[in-house]
Amino acid sequence: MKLYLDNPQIETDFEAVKASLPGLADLRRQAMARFTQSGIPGPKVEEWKYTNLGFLARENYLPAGKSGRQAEIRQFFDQAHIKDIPGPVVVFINGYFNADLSSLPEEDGVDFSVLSHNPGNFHQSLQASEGSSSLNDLNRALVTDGYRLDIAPDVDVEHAVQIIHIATSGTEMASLRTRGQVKLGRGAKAAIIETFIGAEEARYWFHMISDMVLESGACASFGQFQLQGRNAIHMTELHTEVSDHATFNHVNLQLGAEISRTELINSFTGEYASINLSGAYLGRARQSHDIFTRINHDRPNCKSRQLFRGVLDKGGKSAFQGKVVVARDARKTNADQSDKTLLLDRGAVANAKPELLIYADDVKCSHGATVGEVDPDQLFYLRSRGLDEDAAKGLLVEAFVSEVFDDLENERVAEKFRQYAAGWLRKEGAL
Amino acid sequence: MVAMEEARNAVNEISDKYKYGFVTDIETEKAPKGLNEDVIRFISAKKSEPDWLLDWRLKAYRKWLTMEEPTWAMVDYPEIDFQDIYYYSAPKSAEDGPKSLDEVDPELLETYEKLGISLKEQEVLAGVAVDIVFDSVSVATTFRAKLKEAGIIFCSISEAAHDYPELMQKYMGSVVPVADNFYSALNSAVFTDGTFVYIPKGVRCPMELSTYFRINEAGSGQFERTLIIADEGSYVSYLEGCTAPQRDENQLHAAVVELITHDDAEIKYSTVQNWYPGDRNGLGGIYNFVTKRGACRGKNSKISWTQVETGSAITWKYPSCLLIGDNSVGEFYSVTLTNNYQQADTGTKMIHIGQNTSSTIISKGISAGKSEATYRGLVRVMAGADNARNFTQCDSLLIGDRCGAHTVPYIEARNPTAQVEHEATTSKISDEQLFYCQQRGLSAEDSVAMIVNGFCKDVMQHLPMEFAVEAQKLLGINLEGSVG
Repeated sequence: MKLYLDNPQIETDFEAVKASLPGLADLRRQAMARFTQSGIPGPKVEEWKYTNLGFLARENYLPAGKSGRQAEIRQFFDQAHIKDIPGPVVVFINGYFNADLSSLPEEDGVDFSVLSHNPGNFHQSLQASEGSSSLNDLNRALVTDGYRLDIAPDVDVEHAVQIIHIATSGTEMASLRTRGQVKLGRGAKAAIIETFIGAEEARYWFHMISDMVLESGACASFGQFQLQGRNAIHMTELHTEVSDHATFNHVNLQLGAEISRTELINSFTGEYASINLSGAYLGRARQSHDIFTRINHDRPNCKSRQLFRGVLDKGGKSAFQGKVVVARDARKTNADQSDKTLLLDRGAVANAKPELLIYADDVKCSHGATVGEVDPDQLFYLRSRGLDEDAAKGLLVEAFVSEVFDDLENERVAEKFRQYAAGWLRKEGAL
Repeated sequence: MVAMEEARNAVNEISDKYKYGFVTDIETEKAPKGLNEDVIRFISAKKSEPDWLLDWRLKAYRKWLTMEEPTWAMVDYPEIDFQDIYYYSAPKSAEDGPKSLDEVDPELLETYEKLGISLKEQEVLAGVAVDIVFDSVSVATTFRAKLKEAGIIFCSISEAAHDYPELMQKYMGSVVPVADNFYSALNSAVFTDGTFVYIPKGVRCPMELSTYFRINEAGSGQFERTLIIADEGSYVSYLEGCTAPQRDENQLHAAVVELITHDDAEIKYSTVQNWYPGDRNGLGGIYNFVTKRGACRGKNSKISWTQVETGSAITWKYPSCLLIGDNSVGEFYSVTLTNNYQQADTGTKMIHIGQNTSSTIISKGISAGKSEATYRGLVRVMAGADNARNFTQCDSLLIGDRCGAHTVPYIEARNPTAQVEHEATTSKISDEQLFYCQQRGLSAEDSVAMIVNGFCKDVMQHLPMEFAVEAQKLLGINLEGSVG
């Protein structure tokens, strides 16, 4: 069986878009060449063991149209926007920047630019994570828009920057490809919240690659909410480099989409830095969430922690593939990883592959993974206190998930996370 | 003598086709180098096997030709030329071996000394040509009589093919299908010998069975095949291997072990593997590619694997359990110790199919020198396996900063009532631990050996007693030179 699959249609798509975004033609052509050489990863590729992309070789997703119905867009915007946070908002519709709904950052030392406005300026930054995977190259070749956020050294950005990606109902069988670039200078501090939301019924392929660089002493807090429509395909990659004494906190929530794949690829480029990844994935009927993390402990004295929680109802499927690699001389590494999944009903499938690859001896590494149902003893305890079964179960599931959000510094963001999760749990047929 | 005649004819046929002038003498003890259907016919003829077994081998060979060598394991070795191997050589005659212990590698003898192995045994292990007036011969005979009394069949696979064809045909390849993987297909085509055990209904085997006590075993190590069947309500404990490092000329080992338990039966399978690991610079050593699998077919049945892996340059081994019967239990206890340039990729698979099945995995990996040890395991709970339980713990200990320890577990659960737990830790021996031992008067090396033995205790206690004592010594010996 072939490891990688072809879809000749993608090359035709490339012909149609290659002239857009002047100044990036070379870079995109090269990326396309690399993609066509490898292709779409098939189910025999170890990293894609739990998500079969066979359909991408058969189905054709054309580049999406720029706009949609105003009322619909407004509704999604209101849903995703956290109004309590007075900071800037950046909106992308069907993969294109939308100036009307956006209010761009104006703070000193915060430089924001849009890919389609000045593509040539993105030439260098688009080379980050180049060639790391065939899908990364595919995105680079077919990208329609994106953003770059540069925080100058020692700037402490006051309010969290909200970035909202909307897919309208006009995106049936369309592809939406965007890119994000974030750089925090020496000692800078910023929070970003990215929300992905889309039409309930449309079948679209949302594909985003983000690259993030934290210079020494920087501190970034990055949250992602995935609330795509139930027929959507959602794929994101987030590549992060963390330098000396820098801290990267990431919180991830996967609620929507039929097929979601979240890749979090992290490397330490300096010492005494720390990375915290946490996330929750909630799935039911036909949904499949695939979380793929990698932490490269290339430098000594760094610390990483991963905490993921999944809840699966009838028909839901999940995969957690977490890999920690401790390089030869990365002494005093401290790496911890935990993944727990609750199965609420028959017909739910949970997969986990927590990997540790260790090449240094003076390290402390551990991982734990569990799959199980709601603890009957805990359920009994609550029922003996007078709660009915559904309420008791709901409470336990909520507590199980909320552990993920406990670390969120911004209470308003944490509240929003909890709301989304609670909303999912309350949905009919959940419990 | 009809069989001899047949064999001679078969060999004659081969030589006609073999263009490099293979000598057609039935006394030849080696098949020509390389592998083709004629070599398989030669092996089968040599063993005067029934037709069905030859067909079975040929089918396996044809399947093997279509398969690719697996590359997913975290082991690195030069490509094996499968046409550059002798697939059959009869037990070596006395003339080939060293004439006396004086000719044996002194380092090997030193190890024997430390393990406290008697001189006579040392000679046998080192392959010295001795007139065997060796204890185990008489022991074996007495044992066999005793086993026969209980109705237990304990013989070589070749004998079983002749004497118990129904059992062989029914069970061989039923747990590890011929085409299960590249090495199992190869083994199925060319296996030279092995062990067959059948424990009848309700019989508790009165002693620990071990190949060590079977005299016709010699020289069949390379492509070994073991088949153990425990019928309803029976019990057997089987020991494989030997703590003493064994000399072996064959670099490639590809064994297949199949275990079957029926209702209420139990098999306990213990292994100590200490094949030649290569020298300090990583030269030579055995490549050990083993497929071991047990099927708990009956209700309340149990299969327990315990292994201490200290030898071989490359170890590729995943003793597994198919928990088919309701309430069946699978266990895997493993200690893997690698030193110098050794590489081990080992673990288990627990497939929960029946209801109320449970499995326990305890794996302890110790890497020293420039070696790499990987735990790779799969726990799968099928949709029908209500109330399945699994607990997995894999701990790794690193000694030195040039070695690697890896953990690659797979968990796949499809039943909401299942509970699967996995824990893994990696650490080194702390300076405090070492200091504590040393200030009590132990040398650094003895301290490490003691700490490592403590680290492995959870596994060691599942080994039969005599085995455990030797295995403990073995860990210490194999770690020599890795500290300081």
